This record gives sequence, structure tokens and C-alpha cells, in this order.
Amino acid sequence: MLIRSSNSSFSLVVFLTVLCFFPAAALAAPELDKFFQEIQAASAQVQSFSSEFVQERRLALFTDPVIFHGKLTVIRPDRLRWEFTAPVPSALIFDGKKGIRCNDKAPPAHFDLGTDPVMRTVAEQLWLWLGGDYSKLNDKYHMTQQGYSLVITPKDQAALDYIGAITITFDPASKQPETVLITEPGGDSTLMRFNSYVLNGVLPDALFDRCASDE
Amino acid sequence: MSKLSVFWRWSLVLGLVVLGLLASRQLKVSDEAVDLLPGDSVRGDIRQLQRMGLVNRLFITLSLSGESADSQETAKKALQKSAVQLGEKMVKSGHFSYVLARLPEGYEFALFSRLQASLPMLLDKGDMANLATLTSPEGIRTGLAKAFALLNSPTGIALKKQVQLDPLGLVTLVLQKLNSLRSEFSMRLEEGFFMSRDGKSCLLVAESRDSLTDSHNALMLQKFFDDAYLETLATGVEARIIGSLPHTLANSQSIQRDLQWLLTAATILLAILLAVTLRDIRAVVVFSVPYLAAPPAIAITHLVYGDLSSMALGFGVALLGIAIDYPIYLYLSLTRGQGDRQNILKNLATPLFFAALTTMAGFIILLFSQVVAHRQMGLLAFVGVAIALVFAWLLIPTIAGPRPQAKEQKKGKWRLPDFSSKYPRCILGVWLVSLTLGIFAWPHLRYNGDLRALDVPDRQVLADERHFAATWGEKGEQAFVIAEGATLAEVLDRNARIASFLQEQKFKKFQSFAPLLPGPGTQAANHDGWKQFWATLRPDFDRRFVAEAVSLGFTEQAFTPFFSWLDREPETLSPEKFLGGPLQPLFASMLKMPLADGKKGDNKYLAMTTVAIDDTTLPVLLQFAKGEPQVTVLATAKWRAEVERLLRHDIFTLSLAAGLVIVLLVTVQYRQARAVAAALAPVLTALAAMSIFCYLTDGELTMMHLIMGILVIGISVDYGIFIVCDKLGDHGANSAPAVSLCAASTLIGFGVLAFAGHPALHALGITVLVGVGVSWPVALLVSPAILAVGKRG
Repeated sequence: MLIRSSNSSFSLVVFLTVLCFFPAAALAAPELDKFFQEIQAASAQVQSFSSEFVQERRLALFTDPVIFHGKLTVIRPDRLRWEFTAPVPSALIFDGKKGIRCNDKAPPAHFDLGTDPVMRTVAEQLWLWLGGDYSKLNDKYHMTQQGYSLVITPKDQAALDYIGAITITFDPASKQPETVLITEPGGDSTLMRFNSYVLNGVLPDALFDRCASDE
Repeated sequence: MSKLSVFWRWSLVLGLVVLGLLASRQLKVSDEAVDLLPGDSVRGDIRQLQRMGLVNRLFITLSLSGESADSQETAKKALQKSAVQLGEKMVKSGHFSYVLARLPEGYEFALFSRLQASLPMLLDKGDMANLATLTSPEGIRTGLAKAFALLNSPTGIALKKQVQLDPLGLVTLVLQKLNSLRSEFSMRLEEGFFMSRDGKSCLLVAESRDSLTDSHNALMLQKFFDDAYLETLATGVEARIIGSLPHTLANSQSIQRDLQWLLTAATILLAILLAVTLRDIRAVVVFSVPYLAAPPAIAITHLVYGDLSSMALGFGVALLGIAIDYPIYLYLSLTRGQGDRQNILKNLATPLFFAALTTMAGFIILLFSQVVAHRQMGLLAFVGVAIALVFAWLLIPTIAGPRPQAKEQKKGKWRLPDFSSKYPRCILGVWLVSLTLGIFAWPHLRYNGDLRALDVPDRQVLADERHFAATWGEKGEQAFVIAEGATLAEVLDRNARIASFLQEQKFKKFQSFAPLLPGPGTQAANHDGWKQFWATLRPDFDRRFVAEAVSLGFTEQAFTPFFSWLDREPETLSPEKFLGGPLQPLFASMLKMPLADGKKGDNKYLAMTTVAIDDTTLPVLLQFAKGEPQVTVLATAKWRAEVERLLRHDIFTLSLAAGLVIVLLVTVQYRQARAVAAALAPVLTALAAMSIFCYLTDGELTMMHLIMGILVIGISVDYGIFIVCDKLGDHGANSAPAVSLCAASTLIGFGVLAFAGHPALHALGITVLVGVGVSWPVALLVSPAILAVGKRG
């Protein structure tokens, strides 16, 4: 039988993918449904968007918070480019079931979500924040609404070992995610702030099939 | 004949038949392919293949049929769901010793943690250079920079603990070893499923507990699959199986189809023949003599050999059909012969005895064959002919008496025109030309020892095999290297030596679990190498590493788990852990434990390595196996040559021995060259005709030609002996009608098989049709001509 092993250190950790395994779950409350419908209606108007973001990682491993700057480009339903511009340039590109990992010190590494479980998980996570249809998450997550924020908590204990909660705060006007805060059980956290949204702009295909960005 | 004599004769015969039936009750018929192969080493090889489950292995391809209305992703999910459901159904059925429909969910994580814990046991000398690179100052710098980027990437949250445990990615050195499990098939592992490159097919592999060369088992499994497909496969998903199962079914069904109409045709033709020639209901007894001889013959063969090969049983009984000659000859002589009944019997004794003796000589020679089934078949036919002769001698006189004068006159119709006396030189000229052509053709014939030559070329089976090759890639020539051992530790160490040898010899494609599960000896050596490596590197490494980490913004304690892991004793890799682990289904197909019932030869551990070979690499492997005790190389290329060599040797030595014995017996009987030549003329011509026929068709001899050749020799020599005795003596028998009736019945009984679609039955039928079809007229024309030539006037 065929076993394919990855040859990069980035993918050597592909096997720690506990986020894939969530059980079935319960239904959301009526108020939440209304909130979902509101977000969903706004999302339905947006076929594509791009934004800049700032990521702040606070880990016990690091002496200080680590700030990364980047750009995000999304064409729904399945094209996404997550790019860090500083301090360490890199990019993750998802185009349907295929993708590319880009690193300025290494050649592009192509992957397939079918055969690379960690990238599949990463894609699931990113689409969880950015997909726009949050009602679909009911079976895997507990969800509560706090103003214009949605707090998502995994139901599966294995996932809870890694993620305490994900809080997505939406821009009241555009209904697009404004911040995403991920808290981890040990107190570590990641905060992403999205800004400079461009909705339904013209996005070149090249963004999703090569590492170099034309913009 | 007195009624008492008749009673005792029938009682004796029927008593023996009943005894035979009773003694055969415990008989078990075996479908073992090894019984059909010559040589202990080849049979040993095949037994190991069977133990490894390769003979009973099934490859099931589930494919999306046609254009689905669903999206590609939906269709693929339906395909994978079908694979899971079918796999579960197969496991629950209990028919399979293992079923591999997919690797278990989360296998990546389970495998990774297992490999991580035992990493020092897996890294061998060849890995040390890469380990040195990863742990060098540059390696530390690069590794930590990647770790930093990874922790800040979207994957960082899930991988944080792993990065702390293995910041330099040492486990990649082991993950590369997973390539050793890569099979020869062109596929990709997608969420644990074995998917084709285009994502439209999914592969399941299973091993049947029961022998799939057995048609009953094959039918039962096919029924199971027919039902299982209905229950488990989604709409638009179709299944195709390749392996022994479809071949066994195709052969069984083809034979059944053939026999249904051919046996019907043969029965009708034989009934017409009986009605036209003998015109007496008592003739049924004549034709039943070989059948009555079968039970005691089977019982005796069973007592000698125990279980019998189905092939030996089937063809042994078929060969026994030759014995029909004796009751026919006796019956016709008694009912149509001239003179005193006792006198006729007295004069028939010698030709019948010698005819049976020469036939039995051909069969007894088979006892020296290297093929088990041939030996069993030879004994069965030998004993059966002897018993049939005795039964004929006991029973036929009880039913056959001289005909009334009115009917006696009709026998004149049986007389053939005496061409032999009129044109002996002409007849002999044609005969000699035939023999010359036969002698010319013989050296051009090639023996095809490949048993697949007797396989039915079923259209569906061929289409499925083509589909399999198109989906999963063409398999090249392969060898299976089997390591044996009395203990698991022994077999694992031996298996590891095989993998090392293949790596050293730069074999490009091989599949082995040894790099992931080396034996205890190899693990201990690897661990020693690991300890020595770190003893020279630490504590400098620790200081350098921490300094580099801090410079990148990590805390000093960030990688404490990594140093704890380095200080910890690694976990020994045990087969129990692996066999209970995520790759269990894969290992089950490559490692066999001793069977619980402790059958002879099954009390050892076996580990298998599959190697892609060609003409240059096979000899290297065979040479390696010579120097390694308990390592066997199994390869079709090796067997094909070996089987062909042994069977060719069998054909020549046994045919020569049978020919010499028959010539000797005929010489002892007649003691004059002309009579011996006349008696042997049908045999020689039959062999020449078969030789010419094979030359004109495909130029190949198969096992069927060999077996039926012996039958034709036995039949033909009988014809010669009957005719020569008739011509030389005055025993009152008229041999020509008897020979003609015998030949006609044989041609009907066996010759109809020439019209069979199954290659084995066809070869069987055509051999008899040609051999007996020629020896019959030769016995009637050439044998008398040989006796007559030079004596004219």
C-alpha cells in the first residue's frame, strides 16, 4: 500500500491534527439564528474580499508578544490567500482542494487537502472564521452571541486541549470579521485584527496559483 | 453358466463396489494448486505463498461509473462511504482474515506519536549524516527559525506541543521510512482511503480464510459479494474484483456450461451407438463396468495417499474410462464370436491380459512423476483398469451368450472390406509418411508449464484486469522474499537484513516493513548508535541550542520537553504495538504468525518483502537467499522456468519409460518383430498425429496433452493387440467391430470435449479426438497390412 510521507519540516507535524475530530451536537438558540441570518445575508452579498491584518501571538514560549503583518484575500467559496508580509514573509494559498505553501527561503510546496490532514485542518479553521455561514458550525461547536461578537467553543475534549475559545467580532456596518481572538487552555492567545476591507474587488487568479503576489 | 455362479459373481462385484464406497466416505478432495506442480522446492514456495495469503488475496476496485450528476466531491464521498460500508460488511461476515478498506481515522496522529517515542530505535547508520546536519549549528538556526514561523502561522496553535517536543524536525528522518511501505500500485492515500490518481476509484484489499481455488468457496464468496454490493454500494458506484476468485468462478462456470451440453450430447450419441450396434438392454452392463470399478479404485488410492487432488480424482476416473474396451471386446466376442464359449474365453484371456498390462504400464510409470496429482492419478487409473478387467471377466459372461442363428447372420455386416490384404504397401506408405511428419514435428513443440495456459479466457475477467491495470498501474515482474523464523524476534531481524541488502544493492522498488519495525537486534544497534551520537554532541549542543532559541525570542524553558525527550529511554518497538496500531491492516498482509492449529510447516513466523525485479536483479536476489538460511525468494519467473524444466523432464523420462515397458510387454507377448510392429502401429501413429496437430495449431504442449496422451497410448495399444491377436490366432473373436465400437464410444465420450470452450477440456477432447481418431483406422488397416505385407501369395 501507499504511504506518502512529507519531506519538509513544515509538514512533518501533519499528524497532530486533533481539530478534525469533532462529534455531533445540538442546535443553536433562536436569537443566535437571527444573528446568523444577519451575518449570512451580508456575506451573501460578498463574493470576494481582501483585507490587511495584524496578528499578535502571546505565547508562554515567547519572551514577548510577536506581531505579524499580512494580507488576506478570499473568493468564496473555496479560494483563500493568507499572506504574512512581515517580519517573516510567507503565504498559504488554498484553491479548492489544492494549495501552495510559500516561504521566501524555500521553493513553493504544493499540497492536496485530501492527502495533507494538517492543511485540511488549517483550511477548515480559516473558513470557520471567514466562510460567512456560521450556522453550519452548530454540530461541532458551542456558540454564543455577545453584542456583535460570536464566541465559539469546541465541543470535543481533544480540541479543547488546544483551543479554549474563538471570539469573532464583526464590523457592525460591513458584517465582516473585524477581529478574531483565539484563546488557548494554557493562557496563550492569538489576536488578529482585520482592516482595509475591499469587498467584491477584482482579484487576479494569479493570487491563487503562485506564491508571488502581483499586488 | 449356472445361476449360482452368476449370483456369486455379481455378489462379489457389488460387494467390492459397496466396500469401495464405504472406504471412500472419509475421502477429502483437495483443490491445492501445489498438487499440480513438480518438485519439492516449487511446492514449498507455493505453500509459503499460500501462507502469506497471496493466493487467497482479493483486490476490489470501487469506481464511480459514468458521469454522475453529483459534484465531484459528493461523488467521491459516496465512493468512500461505499468502501467503508463494504469493508465493515466483509469484516462482519467472518469470511476474511483481514480487510483493508481504509486506514483508521486519526492514523496519522497515532502513527506519529508511536514513531516519535521510538525514534532512536529506528535511525540506522545511514540516518546519522542527516541527523548531524539537523543538529549542527546551521541546522539549529534553520530549525528554530522554521519553528518560529510555524508557531506564528495558522497551524501554530495545533502544532505548538509538537514544536516544543521536536523543534528540529528529527522525526522527518523516520517519516521518510514510510516510503518503504509504498506499494507498486499508483495511488494516493486520501483521508486513509486508497484512492486512484483521478479520485474516481477506491481500492480494498482482503484475504479470504477459505481457499479461493475451490469452486464451492468461490461461489459462496461471490454470492456474499452480490448481496453485499446491493446493501453497501451507493448508486453510481460499481465494484470489480481481481484475484483467484474471478478466475476460479470463470473456470467453474465455463466447465459447467460446457459439460451441460456436451454431456447431454455425448449421452444421446452413446445411447444411439448402443442401440444401433449392440441392440440389447444388457449392453448397459458393458458400459457400466468402468463405473463399477471406480469406487474400489478410489478407495485403494485413498488408502495409499489419504486426501486426493480433485484433478487426480477427476482425470483418474476419466482415464479409467479406457477400461470400457475390455467389456466391449468380451461382449462382442461372446455374442458374435464363433465357436465354443469356453474356448472363446480361453483365447481372449491372453490379448485382454496383455492389453490391460500395457495400459497399466503407462499408468504405473506415472507413479514416478514429480507431480503429486499425476502420481495419484496414475495409481487410481492403474488399480481401476485392473479391477475393471476383473469385473469385466466376472460380469460379461453372465449377460452375454451366443446369439440365435438369425442374429448371427447379421454379424456379416460388421466385416469391413479387406483393404489391408489388397493394398498393404500403399497403406504402409501412407502410414510411414505420417510417422515421418510426426517425427519432424516433435522437436518443434514447446512445453508450456504455465498452468495459466489452462485458464479460461473469460471476457469479464480480462476486462476487469485491464480496468485494474488502467486504474492502479501495470504491475511489473515481482519477487516475494520471505523470511522465516521460529520466533518473532528472529524473523524480524532476518527481515531487516533483507531490507538492508536491498538498500545496499540499490534495489529501486521494494516494499518492506523492516525500516519501521526492525528486529530487536537491529533496534539495539540503532539505539547504541543514537546514544553514541548524542554523547559526543552534548552538552555543547544544549548550550548552543538555547542561545539560538533565546536570540529568536523564545524563552529559555521553551524547549524543555525536547531535552526531556532526549534524556528519556526510548520505547522499544514491539510487533504487538505495531500490529495493534494504525497500520495493522498493512502489517497483517506482510507478517504472518504461526497458525493456532499448528499444521505442519505452519508453526513459523513469516515476513514478506515485495521486490520489483528484472532479468538482472532476480539472480542477485537468488544468490542472496542461498547465503541466508530461512530466506526464500518466490518469483513467477523462477517457477516458470523450474516448473517447465521439471515437467519437461517428467514428460521425456516417463514417456520413454512407458514406451519401453509397452514395447517390452508386446515383445514378450508376440516374440516376432512384425507382430510387435503391428501391435504398436496405432500407438506410434496416434503420437505422430498428436504431434503434427499440435505443430499445426499453436505448437504448444500442455499438461492436458500429457495426461490424455497417456490415455491415448493405453487405448491405442489395446486396439493393436486386439487386432494382432485376431489376425494371428483363431480365438473366434472378431476384433474389428470391437475395436470400432470401443473407438466410437471413446470418441463420443471424450471427443465431444474438443468442442468445449474451456481450454483444458478442449485440449483434453482434441487430444483424444486426434489420437483415437487416427489409431482406430490404423489398427484396422495398418496393423493387418504390416502382418500381411511380404506374405502375399
